[in-house]
Amino acid sequence: MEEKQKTKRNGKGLKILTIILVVVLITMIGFFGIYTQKQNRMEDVVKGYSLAMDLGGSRIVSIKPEEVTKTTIKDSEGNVIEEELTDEEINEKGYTKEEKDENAEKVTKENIEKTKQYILKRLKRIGVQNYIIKTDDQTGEITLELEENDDTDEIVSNVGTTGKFEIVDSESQEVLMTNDDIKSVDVMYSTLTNGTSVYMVINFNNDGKQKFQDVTEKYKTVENKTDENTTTEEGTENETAENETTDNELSDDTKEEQKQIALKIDGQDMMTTSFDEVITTGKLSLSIGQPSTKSEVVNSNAKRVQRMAAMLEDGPLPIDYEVNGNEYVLSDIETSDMQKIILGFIIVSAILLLILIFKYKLNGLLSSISFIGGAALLLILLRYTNVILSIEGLFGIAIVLFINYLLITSILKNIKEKENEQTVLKIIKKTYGSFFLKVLPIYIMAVVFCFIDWLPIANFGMVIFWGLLLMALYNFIITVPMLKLREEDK
Amino acid sequence: MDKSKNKVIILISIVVIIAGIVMAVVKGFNFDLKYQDTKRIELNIGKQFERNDIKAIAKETLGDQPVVIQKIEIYEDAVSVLAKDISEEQRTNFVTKVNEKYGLELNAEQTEIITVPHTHLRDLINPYIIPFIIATVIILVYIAARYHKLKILKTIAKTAFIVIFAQLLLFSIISITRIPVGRLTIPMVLTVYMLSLVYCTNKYEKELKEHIDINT
Repeated sequence: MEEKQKTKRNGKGLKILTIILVVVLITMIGFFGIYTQKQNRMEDVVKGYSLAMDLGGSRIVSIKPEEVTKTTIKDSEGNVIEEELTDEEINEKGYTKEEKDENAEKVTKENIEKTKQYILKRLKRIGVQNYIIKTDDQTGEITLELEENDDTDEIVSNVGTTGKFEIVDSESQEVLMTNDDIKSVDVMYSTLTNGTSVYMVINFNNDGKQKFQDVTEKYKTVENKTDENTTTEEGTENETAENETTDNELSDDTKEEQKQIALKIDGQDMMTTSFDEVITTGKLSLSIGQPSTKSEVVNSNAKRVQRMAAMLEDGPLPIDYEVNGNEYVLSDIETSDMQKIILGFIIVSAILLLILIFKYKLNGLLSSISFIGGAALLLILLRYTNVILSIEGLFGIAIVLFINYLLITSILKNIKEKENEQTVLKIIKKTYGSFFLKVLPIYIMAVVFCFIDWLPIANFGMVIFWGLLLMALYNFIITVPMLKLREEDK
Repeated sequence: MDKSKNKVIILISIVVIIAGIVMAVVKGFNFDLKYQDTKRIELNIGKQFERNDIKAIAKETLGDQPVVIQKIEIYEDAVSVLAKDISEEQRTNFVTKVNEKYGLELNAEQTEIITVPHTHLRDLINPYIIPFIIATVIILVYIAARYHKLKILKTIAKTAFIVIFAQLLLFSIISITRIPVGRLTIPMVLTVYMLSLVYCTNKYEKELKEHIDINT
């Protein structure tokens, strides 16, 4: 009988030891990683952390008002001379030359603020989830700090572009339509056998709809041109008018000269085209990029449309800008700073865990070991979820670990106080229930934050969400069985 | 005893909040250097360097002012030095010292002093307003449902008051102690927000238990 009890006790001890070994293993992986030899060097196979711009570095872009100098030559009576003359000729004829920065007049406080708001809207529209914007109210210079990733270059080019949209007569350059005629810009997809095509659909407003109808009527493709590709691409690749090859009413006068429109963005010809039929819907569809079966290509084309849409929808920037500076700057929080923060965190944790051991003896020790394993597991989990760590995220980790510490403390306290009245499992279940009811608002907050399109807050939400979920499960699988075995072992 | 203790704490908190508001109105907040109007110079050192060495040179040549030293570009061989103000003389001294330290011949005259504008407070806090409102509304709905036995309106009002009061207290402390408003401010706001919520639920759970005990 006594031997049976001894065997049972040994079995429980072995179980506790096994759990401790598992925790140690998790701790080693979480804090130190798993190193394997790769091409004569040791490499950690555990995925690294994705860092946000405050910890990993950022792209700093500065844009300043462009100098648009207009030269005016005037005679002695103040009349403007249209012909182009050299400086010598101007002097000879007694004319005067005036140089004026046309853009400088636009650099007012209101326009700077308006430009900033436009840029913010563009950033939001193209899904930029983390940035810092600074504006100089005197010079109009705008500095942006952006996350560094595959899209950053495109975002930079988008931000600095004025976004002036024009449909002009390709020959006379008469402006037929502008941003003022645009209501909205949408992305549309069409899947055929050769893959998915992405379209930028420009929806014109009421005035624009009528204007566009008139334009399509005036610039209708004449009969002798219908079988030809009447679109000339300039500047961008593969952009064609959707209605190009549809059936159309043929013109009576087949020898009529083909008139074309040019679509311009910031004065640059994007495409030249004519229309196969009169468009009454007020929608202009332009295919962007080549059709593709690859999702990356389709997504890239769609992103391109979104960027153009963001630029066109709100109208042109009130001031013309040019990119003044564009560089990648590392975070001022370096590895050595992080090591100091981690060290401070370890010291605080060690003190708290020592209090736990001092107060609850062996139960405190087992819980402390479990706590360390939980922290390590959280660090592993964060590397394999879509969490991009920022300073907010670091605070999130500290909060999750603090909540876990409170949970463990409250379990140990209740075991100590009530172990003679109830079973350990019952005590733990009750503590779990009441504890999570108290922190439920935090969980609600975390879930809400996870869905916010602002990286620091989403990041904080995700760390709390995964952290609390993990701690609930981890304690249930590791801490609780250890404490249960230990209490039964008494 | 507990109630009188609470009264003292609330009274002290109110005094702190008033002092904080006065301080904020009179002196404003002390913004982190990265969010202020600053001057920046950049140097291409062309080789690996220690940030602390540059920091020491900056401290020696730019006077007694806080500086932010950052490595630039992927090769980490260029440096950006950010300070509240950099005069032409300070720039020359800084470049000279860097030349001495790294055996370079950089031209101080060609090193531009870049003016970096400040960040508006509203631009810093704008992205956080809507998430906070959404989260708070949902949490208040939860609290109203969970603690409906404790009088819904009173509980909601109490929670809203505690959350706002805690934030006011935090900003007052920031304002009085001149803790720089910057990267750590939002995490601090989030932490205080969570702590105030936990304080509320902890309090209501106790009250609810008492309420149930009395009624049974």
